[in-house]
Amino acid sequence: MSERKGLMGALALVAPVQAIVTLVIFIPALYVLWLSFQSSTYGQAAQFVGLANYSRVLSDPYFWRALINTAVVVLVVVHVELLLGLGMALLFASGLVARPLLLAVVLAPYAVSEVSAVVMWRFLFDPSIGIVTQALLALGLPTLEWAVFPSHGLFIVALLSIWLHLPFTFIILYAARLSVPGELYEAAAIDGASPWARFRRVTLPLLVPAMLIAMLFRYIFAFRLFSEVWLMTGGGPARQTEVLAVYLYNEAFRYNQFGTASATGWLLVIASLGLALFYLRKIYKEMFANAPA
Amino acid sequence: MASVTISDMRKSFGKHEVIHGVDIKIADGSFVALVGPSGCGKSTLLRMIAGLEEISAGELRIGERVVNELPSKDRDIAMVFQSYALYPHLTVAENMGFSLSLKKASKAETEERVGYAARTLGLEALLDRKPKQLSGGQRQRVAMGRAIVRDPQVFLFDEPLSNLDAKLRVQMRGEIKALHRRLATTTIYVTHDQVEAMTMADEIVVLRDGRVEQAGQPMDLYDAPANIFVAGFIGSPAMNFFAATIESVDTLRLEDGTAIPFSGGEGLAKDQRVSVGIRPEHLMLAPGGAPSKITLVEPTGPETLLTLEVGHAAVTMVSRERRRFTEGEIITIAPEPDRLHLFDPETGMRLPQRQ
Repeated sequence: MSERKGLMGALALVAPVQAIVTLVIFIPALYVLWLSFQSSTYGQAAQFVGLANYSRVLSDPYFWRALINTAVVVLVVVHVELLLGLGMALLFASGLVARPLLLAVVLAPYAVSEVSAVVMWRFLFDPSIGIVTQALLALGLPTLEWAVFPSHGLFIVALLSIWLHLPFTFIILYAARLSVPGELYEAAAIDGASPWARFRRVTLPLLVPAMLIAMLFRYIFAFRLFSEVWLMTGGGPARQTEVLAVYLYNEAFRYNQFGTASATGWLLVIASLGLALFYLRKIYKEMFANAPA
Repeated sequence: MASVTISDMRKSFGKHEVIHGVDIKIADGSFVALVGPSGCGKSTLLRMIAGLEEISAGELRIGERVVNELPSKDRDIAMVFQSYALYPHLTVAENMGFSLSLKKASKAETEERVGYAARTLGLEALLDRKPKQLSGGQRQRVAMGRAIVRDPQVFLFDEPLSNLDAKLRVQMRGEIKALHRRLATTTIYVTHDQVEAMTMADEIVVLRDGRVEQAGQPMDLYDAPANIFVAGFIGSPAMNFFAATIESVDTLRLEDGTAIPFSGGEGLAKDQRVSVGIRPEHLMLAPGGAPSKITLVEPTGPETLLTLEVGHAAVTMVSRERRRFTEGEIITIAPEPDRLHLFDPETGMRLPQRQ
């Protein structure tokens, strides 16, 4: 009886959150699922069209362009961030002068809103007057023609995204590294481990759970990449730098095709779920393997 | 196995010297305990021997080799840490075999040596477990197993029993001692617990503020402490100290006027001021002794710990007599005349006494 009462109390406590999640995520998601099987635009009643939206999206070359762009940018961004974050975490943990100050410097980009960041970067990399462009020119290096070449556009988007989100990956890995007791390294040194062996046999395995968590979150965040692209290149030139979220936005609010936009949304969910599943499984296994018997 | 010779070893952190020229000779195969209060430098000294702290000056030899500049792994030592420092992601067997896997030892050799260590410590059933799944005592054993697998010249223990409960501590104390008997590997054992040092070690080195106060066999330190610090540190409960004057060759007079008979004072001058140390277990009930008021009675079973007020001084006494003591009661006590320790009140050094 009291257990039942306790359960009711617990449910009552989490109910507000659950209610909000239901209202703003669950119901809209289901509505979008329903919508993805309808033909729908302004001033017209939704009409059931079966899987037509999905087949239209999947046969649209711009969708595939956007999917490939997304995949490339996400893979590059997440993995470069992981490597840089790991390197920086190890550097910080190895003892730096003025560590608190440097920490603030490294974390600063995370405090900058995406929109301000893009505006800043547009100025910095402006093809004619940007400081970075000028500096590259002065050094005799090629400049980024991000408004002209799609590859340059995607490159600068990836760079911006890494700059913005590196603090997240870094702080997770740095915290994980700090939680490894120093005596383990002393024991390893006595056991005969070289610095490389200490990294590979002690640090790396102990950081794997944190790395998986960081990557899972970054994959999910990176997959919904939107404002960096939208504000930087707008998906241009000629829709060549569109990513999935931009494609979806265009479908919905430029072409007013709510049905195909909804289908795109669900394809996005399925794709990121497929990715997350791999990491979730690994994390689950990791935790399961470490659980006390 | 090897001897360890420490000559005028010093350690400074910046300008601050914490180890001030320590000399210790550790015989091959012996078990030496480094004891002292916290901050005395015993752990620093051990870490210098292990190669985890740089040696600022002096010389460290393991066997015939000077190892000052050698990295830990080349010193042929193994260390058991207070926190055990087990690799949490590896099983018991992998933890114990870690050094072998770094050396790329064959599977057969690894299995044999890990198996031997596991049998020695009774860990066979736990080889596939992770450290998280072990109790404190089992983790402690795995840490020792990891050291045994390396078959080193010297074992270093840094307060290995501090994280265990009292009962397990006594048990592991016996196990470590038995292990040392069996393996006969030179062992250096750091502890702040003088009982651990007394019970386990062949030789004890008492440290204070980065200096050796006294080194010797446990009972020698107990019977003839070199100075007031060692006298107070070795023995539990701690020794009582009084200011006194030599009255004659066989009588001391305490400040409050109490005369105490003693023996072995031939070399001392009349009226010389001394600090006299009396161990609680060397006080006895004596008719005609100093009247003392009992302020606290702590029976432990085999003996009773009494806190007394003698004059204005608080005195501890251990009585093995089966008698009912009550707080507030007045008893008369006297020390065993040949068990007094006399020290120079200025220098704190032991005064020559005929034993």
